[in-house]
Amino acid sequence: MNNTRSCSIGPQAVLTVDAACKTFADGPTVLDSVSLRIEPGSFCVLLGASGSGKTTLLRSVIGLTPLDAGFIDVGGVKLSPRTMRNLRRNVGMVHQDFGLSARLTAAQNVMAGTVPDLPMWRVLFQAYSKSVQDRACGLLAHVGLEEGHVNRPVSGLSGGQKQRVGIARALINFPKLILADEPVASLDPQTAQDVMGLLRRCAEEQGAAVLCSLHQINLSRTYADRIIGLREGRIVFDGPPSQLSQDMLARIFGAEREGFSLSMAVA
Amino acid sequence: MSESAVTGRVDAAHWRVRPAFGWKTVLTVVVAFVLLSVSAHRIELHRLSSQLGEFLQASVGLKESSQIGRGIGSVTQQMYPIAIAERTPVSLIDDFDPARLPLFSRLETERVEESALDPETMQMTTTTVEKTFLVEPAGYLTFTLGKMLETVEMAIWASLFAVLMSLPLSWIAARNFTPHSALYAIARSFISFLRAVPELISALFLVLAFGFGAIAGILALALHSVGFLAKFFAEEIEAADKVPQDAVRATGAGDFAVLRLAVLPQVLPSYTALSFYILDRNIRMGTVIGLVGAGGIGQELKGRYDMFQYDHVATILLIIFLSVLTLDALAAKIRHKLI
Repeated sequence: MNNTRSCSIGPQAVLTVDAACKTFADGPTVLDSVSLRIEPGSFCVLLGASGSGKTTLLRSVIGLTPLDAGFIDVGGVKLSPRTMRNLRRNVGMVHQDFGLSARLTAAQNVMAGTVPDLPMWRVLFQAYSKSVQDRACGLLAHVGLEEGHVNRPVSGLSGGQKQRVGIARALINFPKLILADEPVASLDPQTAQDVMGLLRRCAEEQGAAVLCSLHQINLSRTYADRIIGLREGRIVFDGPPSQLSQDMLARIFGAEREGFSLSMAVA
Repeated sequence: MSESAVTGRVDAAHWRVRPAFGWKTVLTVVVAFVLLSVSAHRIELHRLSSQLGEFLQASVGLKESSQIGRGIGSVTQQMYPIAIAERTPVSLIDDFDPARLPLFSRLETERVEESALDPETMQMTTTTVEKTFLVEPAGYLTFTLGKMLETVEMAIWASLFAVLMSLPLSWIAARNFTPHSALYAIARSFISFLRAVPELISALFLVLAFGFGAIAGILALALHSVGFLAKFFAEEIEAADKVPQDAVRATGAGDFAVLRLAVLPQVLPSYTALSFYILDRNIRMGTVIGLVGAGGIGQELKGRYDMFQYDHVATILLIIFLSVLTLDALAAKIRHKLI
């Protein structure tokens, strides 16, 4: 395909991944020379089956999973051990299993996104400044959490509410790029729609680009500006949802294999 | 793919079920039996059965007496009645003022025969003297309760020091957070060393260093507790769920923030439970380490036992027993509330 390799590095890209490779010690190759470029403000979905390398790609962008080869560039800053912490500060991330500390309150979880800039004693006593507290409350209200939930441990929230808190945390540092790793994997279909809609709306208001991994085809079609199909660590499709034909889906999900029906992937 | 795999019909004629006990199990049992037999011979375990048999025969009247019966009997007879009052000769009290006696106390006077060596004749002479005693009806009971309180205080301080030392130590001794692998190895061996030294033995040396009293006891208890707490604290950190940790790390936070915001909230309930267990254990051990002079009620117990004052010993044992029982129930209640 032409567009898998069309990565000339330009200053306007919010994220550039160039020839990313990753093989785990005891497993298969999860990323096989993946290159892509995300434009500011766009909503991109990484579509693929389990094990296609979506999570590894997202984690490698902020160095949670180090790459074997290739490089990452976020907003003009190349990822390296020296730049990593600074780079992470400018990227918001929404996690598959929410990644919230269950015993901390919703507000504490959101404010935790600001700790890299804080002195140790403020972290120790979770003493956040008034402006951070106000911003956390504003964000929680914005993502649709009720006031009564703000100071309650997140363990008491429903899955949908937890992911709303997760989105609020991803937004607290005014990121220009939001990574979302299967943000709705553990939610029911209706809640999944709500949360995807919220993620898209928030990103638009913030002017942030989103790179979101999904395995649901319907949600990808509904919310994405651009879909990147991953299969066995390679990009096999890259284009707007309108170009995502049955043939392309078969290519992404490996439907040409015997005994596999596409409805399984759609469901 | 063979026909049988598709249809599910497989020829199982050559399949064998593995027996529940193999030759390894049998060998282990035989070796253990031989080793235990040798050990039983070495420590003269046969005396246990002969002495127990003798005791049983004596208790049903088949034998006149038994060694166990004689040993226990003489002590238990002297234990009753237990010592509650305190009798102090007024001559031993500095600045004694008969007009201002302590609350609930009275004076008793009795004639006592006293033997003394006459320095001139170099012979023992017995004289009868009149002695006045200050009798406090619950004096010894309150004194012993005070000693028990001292033991509990020692245990609380020791546990507090142990928790405060274990928190930073467990950070270094957790494989996924240690600043350096060399520091990890040092911390782990230090913790193992602390755990390997029993309180009673470290107390022996700490008494030499810090003198008799509570300080040596607190340090002895604290050091052993650190060896215990830091190990389990570190293992809790290693076993904590990684998802929240990655989420905090993804914001650009360092190890300290990850520990504080993603690990500590997870491990706090087990840290609390472990700390309470250590407090509980330190109270029990605190009664024992007094035996080597490290303060608290054990020191009093050792003194009375060595002076054959078994009525006082009985009071001490009763107070230890009741206090540990009460504190145990209390600790269980607090633990239940916190978790």
